Order: sequence, then structure tokens, then C-alpha cells
Amino acid sequence: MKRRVHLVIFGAAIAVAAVAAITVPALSNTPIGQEPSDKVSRGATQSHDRGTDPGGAVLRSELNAVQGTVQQLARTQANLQRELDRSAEQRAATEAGPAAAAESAGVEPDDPTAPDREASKLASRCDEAIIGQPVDPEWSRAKNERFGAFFARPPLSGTRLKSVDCRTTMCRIDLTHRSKEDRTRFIQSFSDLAGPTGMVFAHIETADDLDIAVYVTRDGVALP
Amino acid sequence: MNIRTLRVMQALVGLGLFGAAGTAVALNNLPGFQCVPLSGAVRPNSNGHAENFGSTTATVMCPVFVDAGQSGLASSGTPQVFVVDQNSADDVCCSSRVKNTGQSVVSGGTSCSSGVTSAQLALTNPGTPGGNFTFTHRWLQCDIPGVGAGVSEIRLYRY
Repeated sequence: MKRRVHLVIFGAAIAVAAVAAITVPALSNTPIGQEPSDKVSRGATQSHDRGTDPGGAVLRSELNAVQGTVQQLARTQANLQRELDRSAEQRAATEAGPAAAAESAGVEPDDPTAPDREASKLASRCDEAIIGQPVDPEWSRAKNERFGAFFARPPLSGTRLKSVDCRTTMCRIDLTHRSKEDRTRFIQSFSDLAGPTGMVFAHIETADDLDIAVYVTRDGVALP
Repeated sequence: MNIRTLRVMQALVGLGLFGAAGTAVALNNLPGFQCVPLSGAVRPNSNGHAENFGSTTATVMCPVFVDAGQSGLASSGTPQVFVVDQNSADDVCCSSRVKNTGQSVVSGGTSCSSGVTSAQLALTNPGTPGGNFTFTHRWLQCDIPGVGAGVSEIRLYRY
């Protein structure tokens, strides 16, 4: 990016030099206040009178020299631009290697670890929310009773309640499952832990994780 | 077409996109037969509903369209399921679920029918938060009780 800006500045400098080369000699004898278009056309007119103006030959040779320099600079700039484009393409190809390969295979180049990472962040936010809350004894008691009835269901015999921590708007439940099948059975019905307008989040860190944390919000309260 | 015209068109297109992004997502009616069984004896009927023709409770999962560009929505809104419950012992119960391709799951609470009736009932489920992922997917999960006074079914769901 920085190199590209330099090249633009460089190009602008060349353009200014070229304009200066054409107009400055022609302007040297122009009275103040005269229109620029007249000045240029006058300079052009003068160039046709080369036999009658001795200073014209000097100016012409200076102009030729400047024009040569400008052309050389323009060539240099074009070469530099080509080199810059080539190196940018190479860099892009190197950096986008996996993405390009995924694209050609018709696969999204998304990070496969992102879901678990985001789930961990949600769990952290839940823990932070709970820690700052006082206990609402009435709601906490009601939730504990509900959880007790839920985990007493026969299909959940492979799920053991380790601890429950209910505060004002959220509970954290720690569970352990006998097997992955038990965990699946729990997940199938875990929405019953919340009231009709509450929410439940089961944080399962890995595919084989049997010890999980479950967060249950109070009715009408969203997960943080 | 001159540059000014192009710029005006570009601005109008930009405004249109902005307007679309700021507009609430419209709800869609989806037929019950879109729901697929996770367990139990569930089949579609000629009315486009999903009915439990077995004697025990069946669980179905009803897919919800998620625009990948919109999957980071903070909430799924408030989906509704229109059901018939003809079992006196058990109810039709639904929850709204959201998941990424990881292991964790988020669910809204369970909303259930009550009583026995051949009339249609509406279950309203709370929205569930989404994740800012390309892979976020949503569905409604419902338990349909077995045959009682008649078949219980999911008629349609709105999301």
C-alpha cells in the first residue's frame, strides 16, 4: 500500500514536470494577467518561427532534454508498477493458498475451531453474569425443584447432577454423563429446564466431553 | 449513460441495500411435513401436516432457513408452531434451537399444549440467540404424543 502511494506521488511528480517543461519556457515573457491559453498558443506559434528567434533554439534544446528525462522517468515508473503488481500477485497467491484451494473445492474457508471458541466465550459471559448476581431465594428454590423433577426422569438415569448454582436471573448446572448416548438423551430434552420464555445453553467443549456445564435463564431473560 | 447518472444509480442501490438490511426479517409459513422424525412414527398427510400415527411420543425436527449472511442475528425472533393435541396424557411440546457446528447447543424454553382438542393451537417459542458464525443453523424441535382421541400433529410452523 505504502509503495503504491509512493508510485502515485512519483507519477504526479512526472506529470508536473512534464507540464512545467512545456509551459514554463512559454510563460517566461508573458505579461501578468494574460490568459494561460493565449500563453500556450503563443509558445506554439513561436516554435514555428525558429529561424527568427536565436533564444528559441536554446529553449528547444532544454525542452527536448526535459522531455527525454520525463520519458525516462515514465518508463521507470511503468517498470516499477509492473514489478509491484507482480509481487502483489505473488504475495496474494501465497497468503490465500488454503482459501483458494478451499474455494476451488467448493468449500467455505471458515475456521472449523470457531464454533467451539465462540461457545467458550458465551460460557465465560454466563459465568461472569452469574458471579455478579445475588441469590433470589424464592426463584432459586423453584428452579431447584424443577431441576430435581427433570433429572428424576428415567431416560436421564445416566446423567448425574453435580451442582446447581441459581442466583437472580441465571442458574449454572454442572453435570456428568455416563456415556455420550446419555449426553444425547439429555440434550434431546434439555429445553425443559427453562420456563416457556427462558433459555438454556449446554456448553460441551469437545465431542467426548461428558462433564458439561448448563446455563438456564429466568423467563424473559436472554443469554448474555 | 454518463458518470453522474451512474453515481445516482450507485447511491440508489446503496440506499436500497441499507434499507433492506434495516428492515425486520419477514416471517415465513412452513408446512408441518417439512419436519423430520428424530424418533417415533411420524408421516406427512395429504394436508401437508406431520402426524404421529404411533402409540408413543415422537420427536421431530423442523428446519428453519438461515441466510448465511444473517446468521449472526442476536435473536431468532419468536417462532410459532400450530399444532393439534388429541392425547389426554401427553402434550405437544416445542422448543426453538440454535447450534453451530461445535458441540454446544442453545435452546429456548419448552412451550407445550394443554388439554385434548381437535382444534388448532398455537405454541409460541422464545427466540434463541445466534452466533456470529457462517455455520449457525436453527430448527424447531417438537414432541408429538401418540394417538389418543385422534392423531396429534404439527400443522405448520412460522419462523
